[in-house]
Amino acid sequence: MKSIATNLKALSWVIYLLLVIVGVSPFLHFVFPGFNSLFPPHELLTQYGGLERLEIWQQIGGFFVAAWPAALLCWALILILRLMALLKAGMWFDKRSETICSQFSRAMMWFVAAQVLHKTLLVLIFTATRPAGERILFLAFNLEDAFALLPAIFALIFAHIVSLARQQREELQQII
Amino acid sequence: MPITVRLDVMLAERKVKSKDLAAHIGITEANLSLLKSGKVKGVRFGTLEAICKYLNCQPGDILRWDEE
Repeated sequence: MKSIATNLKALSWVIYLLLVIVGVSPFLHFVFPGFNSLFPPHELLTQYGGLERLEIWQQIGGFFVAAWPAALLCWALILILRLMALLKAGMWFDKRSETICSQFSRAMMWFVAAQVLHKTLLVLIFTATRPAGERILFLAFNLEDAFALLPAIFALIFAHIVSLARQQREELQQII
Repeated sequence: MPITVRLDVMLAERKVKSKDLAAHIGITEANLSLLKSGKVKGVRFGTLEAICKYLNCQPGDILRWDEE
Protein backbone atom coordinates (compact mmCIF):
# COMPACT_ATOMS: atom_id res chain seq x y z
CA MET A 1 0.00 0.00 0.00
CA LYS A 2 2.92 2.30 0.79
CA SER A 3 4.46 1.61 -2.62
CA ILE A 4 1.16 2.51 -4.30
CA ALA A 5 1.15 5.86 -2.46
CA THR A 6 4.78 6.49 -3.46
CA ASN A 7 4.07 5.59 -7.09
CA LEU A 8 1.03 7.85 -7.13
CA LYS A 9 3.07 10.71 -5.68
CA ALA A 10 5.81 10.24 -8.31
CA LEU A 11 3.19 10.03 -11.06
CA SER A 12 1.47 13.18 -9.84
CA TRP A 13 4.78 15.09 -10.13
CA VAL A 14 5.14 13.85 -13.70
CA ILE A 15 1.61 15.07 -14.42
CA TYR A 16 2.33 18.48 -12.80
CA LEU A 17 5.38 18.76 -15.08
CA LEU A 18 3.30 17.77 -18.12
CA LEU A 19 0.66 20.33 -17.11
CA VAL A 20 3.26 23.09 -17.13
CA ILE A 21 4.74 21.96 -20.46
CA VAL A 22 1.33 21.58 -22.15
CA GLY A 23 0.05 24.81 -20.57
CA VAL A 24 2.94 26.99 -21.77
CA SER A 25 3.41 25.27 -25.14
CA PRO A 26 0.86 27.44 -27.07
CA PHE A 27 2.66 30.59 -25.79
CA LEU A 28 6.08 29.24 -26.74
CA HIS A 29 4.83 27.87 -30.07
CA PHE A 30 2.82 30.89 -31.03
CA VAL A 31 3.47 34.02 -28.99
CA PHE A 32 7.23 33.59 -28.74
CA PRO A 33 8.09 31.46 -31.78
CA GLY A 34 11.69 30.36 -31.89
CA PHE A 35 12.06 30.81 -28.10
CA ASN A 36 14.33 27.80 -28.04
CA SER A 37 14.95 24.62 -29.98
CA LEU A 38 12.73 22.59 -27.64
CA PHE A 39 9.66 24.59 -28.65
CA PRO A 40 10.01 25.51 -32.31
CA PRO A 41 7.32 27.72 -33.88
CA HIS A 42 4.03 26.02 -34.79
CA GLU A 43 4.66 24.01 -37.98
CA LEU A 44 1.78 25.73 -39.77
CA LEU A 45 3.05 29.14 -38.68
CA THR A 46 6.39 28.46 -40.38
CA GLN A 47 4.66 26.97 -43.40
CA TYR A 48 2.46 30.05 -43.92
CA GLY A 49 5.10 32.75 -43.65
CA GLY A 50 5.66 33.25 -39.90
CA LEU A 51 4.12 35.45 -37.23
CA GLU A 52 5.32 38.78 -38.71
CA ARG A 53 3.30 38.32 -41.88
CA LEU A 54 0.01 37.93 -39.97
CA GLU A 55 -2.35 40.73 -38.98
CA ILE A 56 -3.05 41.23 -35.29
CA TRP A 57 -6.50 39.55 -35.43
CA GLN A 58 -4.90 36.55 -37.17
CA GLN A 59 -2.23 36.33 -34.47
CA ILE A 60 -4.78 36.49 -31.65
CA GLY A 61 -7.20 34.09 -33.39
CA GLY A 62 -4.35 31.77 -34.26
CA PHE A 63 -3.16 31.70 -30.67
CA PHE A 64 -6.61 30.81 -29.30
CA VAL A 65 -7.09 28.11 -31.92
CA ALA A 66 -3.62 26.69 -31.18
CA ALA A 67 -4.36 26.83 -27.43
CA TRP A 68 -7.66 24.91 -27.83
CA PRO A 69 -6.18 21.34 -27.94
CA ALA A 70 -3.63 22.27 -25.26
CA ALA A 71 -6.45 23.46 -22.97
CA LEU A 72 -8.32 20.19 -23.48
CA LEU A 73 -5.18 18.20 -22.74
CA CYS A 74 -4.62 20.27 -19.57
CA TRP A 75 -8.20 19.49 -18.51
CA ALA A 76 -7.57 15.77 -19.11
CA LEU A 77 -4.38 15.96 -16.99
CA ILE A 78 -6.27 17.75 -14.18
CA LEU A 79 -8.84 14.94 -14.28
CA ILE A 80 -6.05 12.36 -13.90
CA LEU A 81 -4.78 14.29 -10.86
CA ARG A 82 -8.29 14.24 -9.37
CA LEU A 83 -8.58 10.51 -10.05
CA MET A 84 -5.21 9.92 -8.41
CA ALA A 85 -6.30 11.89 -5.33
CA LEU A 86 -9.33 9.60 -5.04
CA LEU A 87 -7.20 6.48 -5.49
CA LYS A 88 -4.80 7.77 -2.85
CA ALA A 89 -7.75 8.09 -0.46
CA GLY A 90 -8.64 4.45 -1.22
CA MET A 91 -11.76 5.33 -3.20
CA TRP A 92 -11.07 2.96 -6.09
CA PHE A 93 -14.62 1.90 -6.78
CA ASP A 94 -16.37 5.15 -6.07
CA LYS A 95 -19.03 6.90 -8.12
CA ARG A 96 -16.68 9.90 -8.40
CA SER A 97 -13.87 7.74 -9.86
CA GLU A 98 -16.32 6.44 -12.43
CA THR A 99 -17.44 9.99 -13.34
CA ILE A 100 -13.85 11.23 -13.63
CA CYS A 101 -12.92 8.32 -15.92
CA SER A 102 -15.87 9.11 -18.19
CA GLN A 103 -14.96 12.82 -18.17
CA PHE A 104 -11.34 11.95 -19.01
CA SER A 105 -12.49 9.76 -21.87
CA ARG A 106 -14.68 12.58 -23.25
CA ALA A 107 -11.86 15.12 -22.80
CA MET A 108 -9.48 12.90 -24.78
CA MET A 109 -12.02 12.41 -27.56
CA TRP A 110 -12.50 16.19 -27.75
CA PHE A 111 -8.71 16.56 -27.75
CA VAL A 112 -8.45 14.32 -30.81
CA ALA A 113 -11.22 16.29 -32.55
CA ALA A 114 -9.53 19.58 -31.56
CA GLN A 115 -6.16 18.28 -32.71
CA VAL A 116 -7.59 17.60 -36.18
CA LEU A 117 -9.81 20.68 -36.45
CA HIS A 118 -7.36 23.24 -35.04
CA LYS A 119 -5.10 22.74 -38.05
CA THR A 120 -8.03 23.35 -40.40
CA LEU A 121 -8.96 26.54 -38.51
CA LEU A 122 -5.35 27.74 -38.36
CA VAL A 123 -4.89 27.39 -42.10
CA LEU A 124 -8.23 29.17 -42.66
CA ILE A 125 -7.09 32.04 -40.41
CA PHE A 126 -3.58 32.22 -41.91
CA THR A 127 -4.89 32.38 -45.48
CA ALA A 128 -7.94 34.59 -44.76
CA THR A 129 -6.22 37.77 -45.93
CA ARG A 130 -5.12 36.24 -49.23
CA PRO A 131 -7.04 37.14 -52.38
CA ALA A 132 -10.05 34.98 -53.25
CA GLY A 133 -8.95 31.78 -54.89
CA GLU A 134 -5.74 31.56 -52.85
CA ARG A 135 -7.39 30.79 -49.52
CA ILE A 136 -6.88 27.23 -48.37
CA LEU A 137 -9.15 24.70 -46.64
CA PHE A 138 -6.98 21.99 -45.11
CA LEU A 139 -8.17 18.82 -43.40
CA ALA A 140 -5.90 16.00 -42.31
CA PHE A 141 -6.25 13.01 -40.01
CA ASN A 142 -3.10 10.99 -39.42
CA LEU A 143 -2.02 7.94 -37.45
CA GLU A 144 -0.86 10.08 -34.50
CA ASP A 145 -4.38 11.46 -34.11
CA ALA A 146 -5.79 7.92 -34.22
CA PHE A 147 -3.34 6.80 -31.51
CA ALA A 148 -4.49 9.68 -29.30
CA LEU A 149 -7.89 7.97 -29.25
CA LEU A 150 -6.41 4.98 -27.40
CA PRO A 151 -6.29 6.63 -23.93
CA ALA A 152 -9.90 7.70 -24.47
CA ILE A 153 -10.93 4.13 -25.24
CA PHE A 154 -8.94 2.75 -22.27
CA ALA A 155 -10.54 5.31 -19.95
CA LEU A 156 -14.00 4.38 -21.22
CA ILE A 157 -13.32 0.68 -20.54
CA PHE A 158 -11.86 1.53 -17.11
CA ALA A 159 -14.95 3.63 -16.28
CA HIS A 160 -17.13 0.62 -17.18
CA ILE A 161 -15.04 -1.70 -14.97
CA VAL A 162 -15.21 0.78 -12.06
CA SER A 163 -18.98 1.03 -12.55
CA LEU A 164 -19.41 -2.77 -12.41
CA ALA A 165 -17.09 -3.09 -9.41
CA ARG A 166 -18.93 -0.29 -7.59
CA GLN A 167 -22.31 -1.95 -8.20
CA GLN A 168 -20.92 -5.26 -6.95
CA ARG A 169 -19.45 -3.62 -3.84
CA GLU A 170 -22.69 -1.82 -3.09
CA GLU A 171 -24.56 -5.11 -3.40
CA LEU A 172 -22.05 -6.83 -1.10
CA GLN A 173 -22.51 -4.06 1.44
CA GLN A 174 -26.22 -4.93 1.53
CA ILE A 175 -25.44 -8.50 2.53
CA ILE A 176 -25.28 -8.90 6.29
CA MET B 1 -40.86 -10.03 -1.07
CA PRO B 2 -41.66 -13.77 -0.90
CA ILE B 3 -38.87 -14.45 1.65
CA THR B 4 -39.75 -12.99 5.04
CA VAL B 5 -37.38 -12.64 7.97
CA ARG B 6 -38.90 -13.84 11.24
CA LEU B 7 -35.95 -12.90 13.40
CA ASP B 8 -38.00 -10.55 15.59
CA VAL B 9 -40.45 -13.42 16.31
CA MET B 10 -37.58 -15.74 17.27
CA LEU B 11 -36.00 -13.05 19.48
CA ALA B 12 -39.33 -12.58 21.27
CA GLU B 13 -39.80 -16.35 21.66
CA ARG B 14 -36.30 -16.81 23.05
CA LYS B 15 -36.57 -13.59 25.10
CA VAL B 16 -33.28 -12.33 23.68
CA LYS B 17 -32.46 -8.67 23.15
CA SER B 18 -31.35 -7.48 19.70
CA LYS B 19 -28.37 -5.82 21.35
CA ASP B 20 -27.16 -9.09 22.85
CA LEU B 21 -27.60 -11.00 19.61
CA ALA B 22 -25.79 -8.30 17.63
CA ALA B 23 -22.90 -8.36 20.09
CA HIS B 24 -22.72 -12.15 20.00
CA ILE B 25 -22.71 -12.55 16.23
CA GLY B 26 -20.45 -9.55 15.69
CA ILE B 27 -22.62 -7.22 13.62
CA THR B 28 -23.88 -3.74 14.45
CA GLU B 29 -27.34 -3.17 15.89
CA ALA B 30 -28.12 -1.04 12.84
CA ASN B 31 -27.37 -3.97 10.53
CA LEU B 32 -29.34 -6.35 12.72
CA SER B 33 -32.26 -3.96 12.54
CA LEU B 34 -31.98 -3.92 8.72
CA LEU B 35 -31.89 -7.72 8.74
CA LYS B 36 -34.98 -7.91 10.99
CA SER B 37 -36.89 -5.58 8.69
CA GLY B 38 -35.84 -7.55 5.60
CA LYS B 39 -34.16 -4.52 4.03
CA VAL B 40 -31.03 -6.41 3.03
CA LYS B 41 -30.16 -8.23 -0.19
CA GLY B 42 -28.81 -11.30 1.54
CA VAL B 43 -27.52 -13.03 4.68
CA ARG B 44 -24.10 -14.65 4.87
CA PHE B 45 -24.02 -18.32 5.90
CA GLY B 46 -21.66 -17.31 8.71
CA THR B 47 -24.16 -14.79 10.09
CA LEU B 48 -27.03 -17.26 9.76
CA GLU B 49 -25.00 -19.96 11.50
CA ALA B 50 -24.14 -17.61 14.39
CA ILE B 51 -27.80 -16.55 14.80
CA CYS B 52 -29.02 -20.17 14.76
CA LYS B 53 -26.34 -21.19 17.26
CA TYR B 54 -27.21 -18.36 19.65
CA LEU B 55 -30.99 -18.77 19.36
CA ASN B 56 -30.78 -22.57 19.13
CA CYS B 57 -32.99 -22.75 16.09
CA GLN B 58 -32.98 -23.76 12.41
CA PRO B 59 -32.50 -21.39 9.44
CA GLY B 60 -36.11 -22.18 8.52
CA ASP B 61 -37.24 -20.68 11.81
CA ILE B 62 -35.72 -17.35 10.80
CA LEU B 63 -36.42 -17.26 7.07
CA ARG B 64 -39.75 -18.20 5.56
CA TRP B 65 -41.02 -18.29 2.01
CA ASP B 66 -44.52 -16.86 1.57
CA GLU B 67 -46.46 -17.34 -1.63
CA GLU B 68 -47.38 -13.93 -3.06
